[in-house]
Amino acid sequence: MASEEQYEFDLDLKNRGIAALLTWLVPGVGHLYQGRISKGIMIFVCISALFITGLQMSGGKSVYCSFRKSDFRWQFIGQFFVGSAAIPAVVQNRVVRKQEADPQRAIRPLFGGKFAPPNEFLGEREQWHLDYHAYFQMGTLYTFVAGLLNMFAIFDAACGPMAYGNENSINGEEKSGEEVAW
Amino acid sequence: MISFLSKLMFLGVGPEAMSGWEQVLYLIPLVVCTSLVYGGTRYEDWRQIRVEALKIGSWLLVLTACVFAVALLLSFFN
Repeated sequence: MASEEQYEFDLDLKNRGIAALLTWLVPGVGHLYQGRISKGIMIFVCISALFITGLQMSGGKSVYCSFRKSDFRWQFIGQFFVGSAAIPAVVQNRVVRKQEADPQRAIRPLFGGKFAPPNEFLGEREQWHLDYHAYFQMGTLYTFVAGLLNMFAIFDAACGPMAYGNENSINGEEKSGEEVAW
Repeated sequence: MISFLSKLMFLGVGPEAMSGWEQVLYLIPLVVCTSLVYGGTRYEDWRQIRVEALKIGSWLLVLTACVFAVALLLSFFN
């Protein structure tokens, strides 16, 4: 396994915390900050394309934060790793739950209801499933996978690649599987 | 890929769009993006990223095909 010194010598990860935070906010931006341009662009295109496609398929409804017993959105744990979507979802959840606590108050989520949890009294969740059919589940899967992939990207921005450099080939000759160290 | 994804988004709305063989198309961007990003987080060199992405992509396809075969087999007994 490559040592810490090797990483620092071969690959300048700059400020790892900032790089990880930037990647969490927008996939691939932490890599751009580190000067790993082509990799940053690849990560940005792949993860953003998956996330936006998923969001678009489900009419923007598949990403929301809700941890109520009646609507426990466990998929948000994966979606959370795309920070630029997670932050508005968490804010919306807090705003809507606060409004729900006051029965005199009408529920008005921010940003036109984007990333807001469904209104249980109006049966919005059931309506979304009726409106979007399997696209709702497919959109959820796409955004969930995009979030999980960004978790790998955050790790890569903070610690460098898991098997760094040209470890499994010396002068173009491939080593056998047993010889390749992590 | 972006153009393919935009086509995928507007393939149609309603259960009929997800009931035919077309639903297999939704697997392609998932496999491509997953294998590329996973390969990218393991290596820094593009040649190795490409090899790793191909390896992971093939594994994902084989795994999905196995799950599909098991599900298909089970459906015969139901």
